[in-house]
Amino acid sequence: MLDKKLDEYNNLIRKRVDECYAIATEAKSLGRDISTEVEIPLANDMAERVEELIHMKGIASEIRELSKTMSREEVSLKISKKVAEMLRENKDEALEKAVRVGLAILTEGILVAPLEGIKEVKIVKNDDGTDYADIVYSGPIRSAGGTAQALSVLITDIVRRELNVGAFKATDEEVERYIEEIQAYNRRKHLQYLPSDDEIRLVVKNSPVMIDGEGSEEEEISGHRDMKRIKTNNIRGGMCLVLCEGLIQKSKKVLKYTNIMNLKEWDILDKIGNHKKEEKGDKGEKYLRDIIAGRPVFGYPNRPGGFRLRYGRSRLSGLAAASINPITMYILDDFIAIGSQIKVELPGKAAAITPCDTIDGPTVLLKNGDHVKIKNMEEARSLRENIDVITDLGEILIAYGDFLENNRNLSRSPFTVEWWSYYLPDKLKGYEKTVPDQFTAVDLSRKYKIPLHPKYDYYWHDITIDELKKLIDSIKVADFSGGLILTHDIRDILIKLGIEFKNTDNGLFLSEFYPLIISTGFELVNDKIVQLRNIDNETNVMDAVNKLSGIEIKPRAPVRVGARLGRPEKAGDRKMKPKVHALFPILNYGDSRRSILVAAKNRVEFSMELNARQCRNCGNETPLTLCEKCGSITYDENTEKKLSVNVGTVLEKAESHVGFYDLKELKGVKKLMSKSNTVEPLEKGILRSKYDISLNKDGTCRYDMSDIPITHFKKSELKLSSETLKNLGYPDQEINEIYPQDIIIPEDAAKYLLHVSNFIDDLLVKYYNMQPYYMCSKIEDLIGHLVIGLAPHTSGGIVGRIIGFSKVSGCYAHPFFHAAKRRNCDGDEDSIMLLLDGLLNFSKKFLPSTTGGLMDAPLVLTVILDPEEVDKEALNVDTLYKYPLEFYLETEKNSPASSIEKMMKTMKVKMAEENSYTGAGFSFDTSDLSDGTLTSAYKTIGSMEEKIEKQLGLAKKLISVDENDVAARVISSHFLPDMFGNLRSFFTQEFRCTKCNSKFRRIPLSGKCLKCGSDNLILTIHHGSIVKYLKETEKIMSEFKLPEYLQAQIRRLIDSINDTFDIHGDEIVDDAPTLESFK
Amino acid sequence: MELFNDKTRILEYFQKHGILVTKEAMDIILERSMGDLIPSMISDEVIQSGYLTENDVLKLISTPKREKMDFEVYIPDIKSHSSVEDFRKMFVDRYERIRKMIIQSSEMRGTYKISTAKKTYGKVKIVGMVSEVSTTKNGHKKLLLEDLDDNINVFLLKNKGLNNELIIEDEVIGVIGSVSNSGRETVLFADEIIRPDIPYKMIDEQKKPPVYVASISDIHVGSKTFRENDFKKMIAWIKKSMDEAESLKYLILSGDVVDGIGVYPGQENDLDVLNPLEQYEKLAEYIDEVPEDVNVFIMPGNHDVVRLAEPQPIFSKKISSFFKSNTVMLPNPYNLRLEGKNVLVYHGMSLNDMIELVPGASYASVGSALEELLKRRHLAPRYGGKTPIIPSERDYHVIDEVPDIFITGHIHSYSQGNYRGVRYINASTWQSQTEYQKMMNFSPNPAIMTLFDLNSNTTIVKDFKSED
Repeated sequence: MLDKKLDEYNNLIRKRVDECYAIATEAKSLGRDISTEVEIPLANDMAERVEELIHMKGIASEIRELSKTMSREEVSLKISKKVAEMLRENKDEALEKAVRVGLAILTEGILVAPLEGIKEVKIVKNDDGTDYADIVYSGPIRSAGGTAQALSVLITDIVRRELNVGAFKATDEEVERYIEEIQAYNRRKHLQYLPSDDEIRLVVKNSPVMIDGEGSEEEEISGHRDMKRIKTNNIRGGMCLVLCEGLIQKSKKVLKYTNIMNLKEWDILDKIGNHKKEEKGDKGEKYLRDIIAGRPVFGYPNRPGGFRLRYGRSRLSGLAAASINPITMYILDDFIAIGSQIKVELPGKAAAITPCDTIDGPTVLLKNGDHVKIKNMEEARSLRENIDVITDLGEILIAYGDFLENNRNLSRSPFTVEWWSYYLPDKLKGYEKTVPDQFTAVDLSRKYKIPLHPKYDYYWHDITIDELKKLIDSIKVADFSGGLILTHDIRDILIKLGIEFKNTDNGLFLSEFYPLIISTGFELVNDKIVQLRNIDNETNVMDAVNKLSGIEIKPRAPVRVGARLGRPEKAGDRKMKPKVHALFPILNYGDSRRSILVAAKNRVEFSMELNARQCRNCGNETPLTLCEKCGSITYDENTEKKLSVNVGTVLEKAESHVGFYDLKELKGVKKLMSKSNTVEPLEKGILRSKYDISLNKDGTCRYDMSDIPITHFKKSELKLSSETLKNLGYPDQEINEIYPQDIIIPEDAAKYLLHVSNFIDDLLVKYYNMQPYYMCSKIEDLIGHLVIGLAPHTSGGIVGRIIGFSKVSGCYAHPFFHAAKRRNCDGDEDSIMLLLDGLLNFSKKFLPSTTGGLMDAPLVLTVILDPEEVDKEALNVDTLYKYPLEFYLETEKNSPASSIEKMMKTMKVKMAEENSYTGAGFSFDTSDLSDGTLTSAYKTIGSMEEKIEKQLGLAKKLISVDENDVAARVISSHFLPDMFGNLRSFFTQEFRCTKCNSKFRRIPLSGKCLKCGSDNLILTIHHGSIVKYLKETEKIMSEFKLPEYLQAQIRRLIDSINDTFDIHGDEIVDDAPTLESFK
Repeated sequence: MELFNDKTRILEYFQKHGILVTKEAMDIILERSMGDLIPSMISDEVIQSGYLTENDVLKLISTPKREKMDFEVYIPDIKSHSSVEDFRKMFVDRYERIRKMIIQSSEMRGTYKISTAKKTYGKVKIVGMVSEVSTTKNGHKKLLLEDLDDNINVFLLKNKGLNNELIIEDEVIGVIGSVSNSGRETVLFADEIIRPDIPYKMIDEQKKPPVYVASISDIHVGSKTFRENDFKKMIAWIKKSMDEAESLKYLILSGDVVDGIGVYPGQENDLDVLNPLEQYEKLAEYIDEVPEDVNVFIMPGNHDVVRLAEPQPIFSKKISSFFKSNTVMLPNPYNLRLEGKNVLVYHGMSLNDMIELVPGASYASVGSALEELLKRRHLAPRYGGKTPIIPSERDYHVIDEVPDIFITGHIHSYSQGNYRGVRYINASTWQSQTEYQKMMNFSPNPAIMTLFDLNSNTTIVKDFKSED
């Protein structure tokens, strides 16, 4: 389905793409490139992408036809059968192609899994002479996801039946091997679902195809080794994934299809996958388990003081992104920036953070004893240094759609203004926008019998009944003069309630007091506080305040969302390590910098196996596209030969071709990684160096960014002129719904792309003798230009259009754009490249020949986004301007999110009902998409020591965090394993030659490098890396209360290190505590 | 000492002391060649009665004299300076010491340095350390062999049947073969591989009353899976001093005597005693029950609270102080001399590596791996695996002295055997199957004590396993 309302927009995009494609086609046809054609085919839909990926001409129309009436899965099975039928002459090929096509359809022709996730499918003979199908998986199958993984096994089964290939019969020993192997894999890399032995046994015994894998892990199996039909002793990661997270974990879904296909052998799946629930118990705490040094924790599970849940979607959230107030980012010492990933307790595992200044910010206790809700950024700046305790982090805005996507029950909603407003009589709806004062608020409740306004609704559920009694006793004797003056001893109760106060010598002064005294059974009569009701025998504080006040008081913050910093935001150009300008090999002749200039200066001439081309003018054989002897165009011989390269000559010629002689540096590579060893024209490298841009392994220039969503942008925040806006096809108004393929990139990305555009123009003019295309001199000139968005683990790009710039480190784009790349916004990152850069400079012939080499390469390009073909997750984004009252009532019942999907008008519902996904709404505004911390402190703080100091400092400051537990976790999950690990590997380490970089498993007896004879052999693990965190660990041990066992472990490590090394530098303190002093 | 081997001299000796010998007593003395025990037969009791009877002699046999001894344990103070030289010196030391053993063999007389060998033609003999092992396309085995200043590629050809020879990286071997200069580089085609190996030894069966050395290992006190009842049963058996226990003179604990702490992630969940020192105190309580006149030797293993890298030092003073004076702390590994016999004790961390390297060796049957260690005269031939070794000027894993008994532990199975007269054993454990072992599908064989008689070539196996 394409949204008809977007026709005009789509035409704009298509026109630009055609323009670029035409230029690239013309340039390539000149023969000055390694290929005479553009190597990124355009695809309009999934069917075409599959056709291009698998190279099955003509299959697209059949897929399209079947898709009209069938689900993806059914189409996949059907087409697989068809392909098998077509190719049945060659059974092996038929089997392999059919399975790959099927998986490609299941993964929308975007993922690399069909190419890289299946190493081979082969037909093997059983001992009894019958044959069976063996499908060999490798690591990248992971990207396909459990269901597609499982279905790929079914496809294999169906296809082998079609081809009359027999069934696999596992021997008992083989079954045991699978069990041992899966357990071993689970120890190294955690499996989402670890099946029981019986489950594994059942599936392997009954599977009619052999689920096999490449020995992808370094670790070997210790028990069932050297088996005839399992060729490797290494752990087969791909097999473990497909069996556990695929077939077994998704058994219910698979069963659906086996029933349709009438595959009786698979009925066994009915009996498995049932003890899945086990792990769920402590799901909420999972985010704490893998705590990382230097990345602070913001809240323990549902602990007061942490982020308060608020339902809604800002124009910058949804698709796993959540919003918080920019003031909170600042108060948290800038650890959370826009685009940072935080790991959360709910609704999913992680979320990217975007700003929203229309939700609550933090409340803090100052060093002078005042308890303050920080109202704006200015106040925050003046107070940050004076904060003693952060008593409340403010709200975190989470969209309904994220609860739906994670298949969760709705947590109870806090009582918020949106909810409250539903109770307001029509004539008073103005209070939805303006906050009533404390007296009016109480009056409203009394007069109209509506719940107390959320601003005056305190966290009553966080105090005990005894604390309430203490509070009442204190109010009973309190002074009153313009405000309430309470004694100091109830400070902590007021803090728990979230009530602001000033610390004075006479006591705690509350200017907002009326709702408090009402809630606790008092009234103000003639400036005197009079008690109306006292606590009876209530045991529940919520019940008590409802009764004492005589008005309805709803829970203000029933749910807090525990969180910690995950991955910090990312934005930066992609550099190979070390940086490269051209895919031009120079072996070791460029010294450690791999400088082509150095090699040229030394007049280096070497020969190596390279893709050969022939000059038809002078007969010269060369790896270059332009003959270095006569300057003519050369022709690809599609074969490798030992060719000699004179670096000096090649460089001189290339410089003269592009007319640039002022190179400061030109970095090549040591060796090519591709199968064909194809050399890139050096001219391109020269021009890249001229504009100081870095190169990716596939010949393109990439900029990597965190993914963050935006559904509506403001003309003002992007500083767009009316003219620009109109040229882009938008109405000239302040707020616009963003088109699905439009992106807002960081200014830094724009600067990089500006250089790339200059490079492309130079290339067009000087290398191809064509007209320049971009002609950009400032970043604003890039607006309207197209890019290719491409994510790792995929091999299909999508066209995007630059419409503006932000100051944040992330790429703002429509949720559908991210979903088209198979990404969400929970901390994922991916890349963009200029469209013409991809079309001109990408080549498959550069791609590494290793497994995974095809990943993150634009093997095919989608021009127009089709909402039917984006990751289904994006269809769960909700589109309402205001969540209905029923929603809040459902949260009180903890209903499953899925039960109200229709009411919440998700994209899916909207598309079904309106046949369009445009015209969506959002429920919370944000002043400016760049408002908030721009760079996480995690990235700006230099040393790990300082990061940890800040992490622990924050832990102490936050009442939502147990600092001793954080300290213990940092040490036991990070420092100790790191130090122990390095200590262990010190004794089994490799040695390295600093001159030629050769590595040796053991130091040669001569002490000299066996390759180059140099005696500069060095350790690869030093004493320093073992004691790296020792000082820090000891410091933390003295400052925090660590569990005794952990203390003993630390002391044991210190003893062990002291006992091992005869080095007493600064790192080891002589009077360090030892195990001896422990008892 | 004078030797008494004929009747006349024995009688003369007793007469000198005014003692008459009964015929029965004389028969036993001669029968059992107890000549050197004769001085000890002249007890106060015998002098008083003036007669040496059959009973007097038998008493002497059945209660061999057990005495507490002082053992001087040599503890090298090795520490790493974190330099490449530390590592190199260790391998050079290994090379030189094992080379000496190899060239003692008559067939290795006249070896060349590799650099010299490369310049010659035809048959040569060299000694080198293996750097790399690989198999060629055609199924031949190819080694890179190093000596102190050069290296050479050595081919073990399939048609000579040498391609199946087990070659372990970093072992030191002698090669007899022919040099070939025909190719691009000089290589050596091997005819024969010479190892330092264990010389065949005649076992001198002395007719002496038995003196037992008991071997146990991997006690894991402090673990929830420590088999406390079996262990107590075993201690009680020693304490009773009946049966063979009467002649028990030495008790060796070869490592992992407690479960320790922080050995693997999540270990705290498997521990009964969380404090490592309390674990040792608990062990000391059990060992306290062992009679004073049994000498107890305790060696650390990878679970123990000493540094992990081998050679592991003896326990700290604090830990040692928990034990009575009949206990001697040993470093790991250690060659213990008991009554003139070499008892080589090694906890056995390298066995993890060896099981992977030696075809046919497994956790359940580790004998062949132990034999391969003896053949190579080295306790941890391959560097870089799972065995952490402290680099120093001396390689403490070279087996200098040919052991009479070779004791290991670590892997919790039980096996014993005899290689060219060396009695070897992988001592059993006192820990039940752990979760980890369950996952690895390994069933330990626990609660077995082995008794070696230092005077004869016999062992006795005592099983203390109770039904779970």
